[in-house]
Order: sequence, then structure tokens, then C-alpha cells
Amino acid sequence: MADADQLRIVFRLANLGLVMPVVDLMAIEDTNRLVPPSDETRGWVRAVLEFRGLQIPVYDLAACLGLTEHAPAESGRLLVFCGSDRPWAIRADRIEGIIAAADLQPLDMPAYLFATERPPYRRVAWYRGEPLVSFEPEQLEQSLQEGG
Amino acid sequence: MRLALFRNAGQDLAVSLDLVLKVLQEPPVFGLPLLRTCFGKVLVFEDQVVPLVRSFPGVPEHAAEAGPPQIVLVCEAEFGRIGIPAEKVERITAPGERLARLEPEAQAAGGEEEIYHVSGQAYRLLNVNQLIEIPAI
Repeated sequence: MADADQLRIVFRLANLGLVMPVVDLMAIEDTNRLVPPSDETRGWVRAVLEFRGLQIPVYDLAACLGLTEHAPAESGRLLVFCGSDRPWAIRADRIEGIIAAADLQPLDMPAYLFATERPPYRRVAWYRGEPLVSFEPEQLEQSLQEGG
Repeated sequence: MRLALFRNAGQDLAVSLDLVLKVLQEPPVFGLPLLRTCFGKVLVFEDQVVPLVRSFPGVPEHAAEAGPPQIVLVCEAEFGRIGIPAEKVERITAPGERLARLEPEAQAAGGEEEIYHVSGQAYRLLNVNQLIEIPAI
């Protein structure tokens, strides 16, 4: 069985392909237990999920990526990641599966492509004829906490 | 100097052949989030992500980006690679072919504009290095 370090989860958001390491993935949850966030939440938090006795933030990744016309799919799922100090979650419209990292060809994105100095992603991963936006969980978490 | 002569949105344009790495026919292009507004889609060329310029001097943005590009000139600018969409590449000027540079015209942004007369047709030379503004580091 492959180590979690060698695995990636591929998912879709507004038809955009995204990929993240599985090693930080704690769970895949339904979206039917979301509650509105408190007034004190910051960043791209749009909901809260009770997860294993904790209230964890659910971030609006679509908004963070500027996908302003995106409407969440009814069949979406939540990806829960372990986080730097507590778990956090993002919503995926569709989860395509778990693949081996070796099946991806990482491609760097030159800095001059980006509209912001600190984008939430710096690379794409070429997979089956398309580039997938490739996140590092720590960098993404920071962007989701700081934005909004 | 040799030029690649092409057409986009009704404009006759040229780029220095020295800066053209490849001319791609109907390349697959993709959308990626959070790119600078001067870029539209991207393509992958030689394992690099290459952005397509959405507009250039004299060509309205909506016209430059109308539909998937039929042709893309992948160019090496000083800051990196960019793709210039084209409807048609007319030809490459021959070595030693006479290129008559017309009087330079001041441009609202980006410096002087160069017009070359080639075989009875005027072409605006795109300065690849000035197609986008790169913030100083």
C-alpha cells in the first residue's frame, strides 16, 4: 500500500481541477451539517462545521480563487485538513479520486503570472492532459485565513 | 532583422523573429485562477506554463481574446515567456528582405510604436518586452 505521502486527492471546483496532498487530509464530510459562522470569523470563512467535537472553519475556496460566479454544487463534499493548529475544511463540487503523486508532472508558475504577490498556489500539476491547481496545505491555509 | 507577420482582430502585426520560440496551431488552452488581468488563458509549452496576452496596443481586449486562439506565437520576453494569439500568421520575412521602418509614432503607454512596411503592407511591430508591465522587485 502506498504511503500517504505519495498520494494526492484530485477534486473539482467550478470545473477547475485541483490537487492536494492526502497526508494532511483527515476526512471527507457531507455538507449537511454546516452552520453559519460567528461574527468574529475572519478570512474566507463562510461556515462552521462540528467535527469530532470541534467547531472548525469551512473556507470559501472558490471566493479565494476569484471564482465569483461559482455556485456550490448540491452534491459537494467537504475536505477536512489537519491544519497548523486546528482542522479546517474547504468545499469541493466533486471529488475525482486519489492518485499517485508520481502520476503528476509538477509545473512551476512564474511569479509574473499572478495578480497578487502571495497567491494561494504557485504550481500546477499536469495530469491527463490538463493542469491541476496544486496546493500546499500550509500555504493554502494561510491564504484562506488572511483573505476575505 | 526578420519579422513574423501575423494578423489579429483586423490588425496587421509583427514581432521580431528572434523572440519567437514556436508557432503553435490551435494549442490546448486552459483557465487558471488569480492571474494578472493582462493574461487570459494559459498553455503548456516545454513543461512551462505560458500565459496568453489578452490584448496589445491597437487591439481591443475583447477582440484579442475572442474564442480559443487559432494560432499562438510563443515568445521569449525579457521577463519570461508569453503567448501572443493570432488569427493567421502570414509569413516570416526572408533573410535580407527589405523592411522599411516608417516614422515612429508616440504611443499613450509603453513607449514608441514602430511601423514597418513590408511588400507594400504596413505592420505594427509589437515590443514583446513591453506587452505587460512587470512590477519592479
